[in-house]
Amino acid sequence: MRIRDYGEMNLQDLGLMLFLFNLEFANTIFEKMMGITYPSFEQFDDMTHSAITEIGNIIICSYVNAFTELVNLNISLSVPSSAVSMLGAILTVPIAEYGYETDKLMYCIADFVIDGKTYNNWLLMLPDIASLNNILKKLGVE
Amino acid sequence: MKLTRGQGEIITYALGSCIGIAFYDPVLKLGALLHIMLPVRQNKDDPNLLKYADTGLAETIRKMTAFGMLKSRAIVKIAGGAKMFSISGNASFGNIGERNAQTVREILKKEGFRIAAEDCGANYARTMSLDVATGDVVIRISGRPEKHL
Repeated sequence: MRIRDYGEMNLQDLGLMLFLFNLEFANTIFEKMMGITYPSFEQFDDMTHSAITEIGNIIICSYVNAFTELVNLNISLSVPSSAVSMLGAILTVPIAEYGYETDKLMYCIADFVIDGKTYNNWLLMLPDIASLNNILKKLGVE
Repeated sequence: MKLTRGQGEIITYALGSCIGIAFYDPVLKLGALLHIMLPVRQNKDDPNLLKYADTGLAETIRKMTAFGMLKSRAIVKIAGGAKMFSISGNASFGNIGERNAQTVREILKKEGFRIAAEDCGANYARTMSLDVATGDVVIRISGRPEKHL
């Protein structure tokens, strides 16, 4: 079984964030929002693409707000975008942007609990290497 | 990059903005498949030659030539270079796929190879395979019929 990943990317001057959707999680939200569910990511229509881009945007913004308070950094976000594809192919874009400097990224497990049921999603953060070192220092990790 | 001779299939998966380049010598049934991610290697101490178009192609051509490939009869096919995300207002970020494709075409031209077929661009990921017994290159795309180059 292959999970179709729906990536949400926010571009900062200093890095990228990707939220990878689990289909079941996306469907739970669509059912509440629009009353419909989809058997796969490829069957989204334009309205659904737009909706999921915005949902991902909200999630990333919430995460970044919490994160900036924790590390006392000022992070601003730009316009979101999204893609449905093989995970490896989606990842080639941020890796291409930061592949010159580093092979590392921060990978967070983002579990959402709705009505007592847990949905597993993933949040990837790829800051540039200077910012990453700065963040790790503020988190107390050398 | 993988290189083999006689029989067998070489596959590379998830070509998003990356470019897959297949080299094939039909007389020797010698084939190689290279998967590059970035156009130019910028740090000369970086040991990852095969990640970049410039050093990766140079290394692949060197190896294929050592095994007996002749440029005059080599068949080269490329695929990939998709625009995975459409970021409005930031042209340079979203078009790494196109930049990769352009660099690959330039290097191949400079080296004296003719590109026999290509499937680049669009906004979807591809899987590329080379069958060294026949030289057939197959491009598989999710939700679309497979394409032979």
